[in-house]
Amino acid sequence: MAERQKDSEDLVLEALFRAERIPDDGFSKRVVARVRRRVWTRRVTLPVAVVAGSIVAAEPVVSLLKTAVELLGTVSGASVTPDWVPSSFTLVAGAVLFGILLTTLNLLEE
Amino acid sequence: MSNEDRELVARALSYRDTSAFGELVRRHQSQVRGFLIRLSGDAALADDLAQDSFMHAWDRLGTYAGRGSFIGWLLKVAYTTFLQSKRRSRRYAEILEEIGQVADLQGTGYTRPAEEVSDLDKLLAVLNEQERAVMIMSYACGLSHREISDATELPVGTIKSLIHRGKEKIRSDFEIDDKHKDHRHG
Repeated sequence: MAERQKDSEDLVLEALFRAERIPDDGFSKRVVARVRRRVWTRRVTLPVAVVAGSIVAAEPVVSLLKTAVELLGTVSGASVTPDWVPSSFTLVAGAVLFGILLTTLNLLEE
Repeated sequence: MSNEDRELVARALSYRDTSAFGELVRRHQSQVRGFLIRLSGDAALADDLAQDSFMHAWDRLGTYAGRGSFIGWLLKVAYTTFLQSKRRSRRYAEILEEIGQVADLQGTGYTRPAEEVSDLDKLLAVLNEQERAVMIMSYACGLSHREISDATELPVGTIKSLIHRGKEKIRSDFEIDDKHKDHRHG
């Protein structure tokens, strides 16, 4: 408060406003526990979302890919078979692996 | 900002180190809780708001530019949290009124239980909310006018007039003399 001159009234008010230090009583531990929960939740959210999204989207994505490949074959006149399109199971398994990888990286970073 | 605060903020930011943040909480919890208790007049509500304030502080730690004191920045977060909570309570009360129920306006005014009323509580009760916040930041937390201006997002001139007006109100309602000073020191 170097920017202002304190008069005697300021000093009296400062003395009046001065409070006893509030004991921590586990307050900081509660805050840190909440922060850690939030950090953990955020770290887990993305991998879980990837896996859940893949489970939901696997079937339609595979069907869409097969249709697109067949359409491409029809348009180009070439005989293109959709055999190389991954199955729903492969997609979900890939997503699970990706989720595990993300979680592991997050844990390693922590 | 003290060097220790600076180091702790850097650690908490760079490594998302929750222990460093915990140390910052330990160092400043008393002032933040004290500020919110004085502002709301309700210790339980103030504790909840203080927890929320520190959570917001963790989320926004990156916005702390290192200008001014860390406690000044923390009090800004705490004041914003208080105002948001007040807005929510007011909205809640409006909704209750709309559906014909009586609202319980917890924490919207300065209401301390009669048995806990101190000289300072009587003094704070004559101030409006903005004057109260500014006076507490100035006299209880020792922030400069510039820091209060940053915390409240009001111009320095407005801070000076709020303090002046607050002092006038206190002067007209109470006899501020050295007796209070002696009493507090004693």
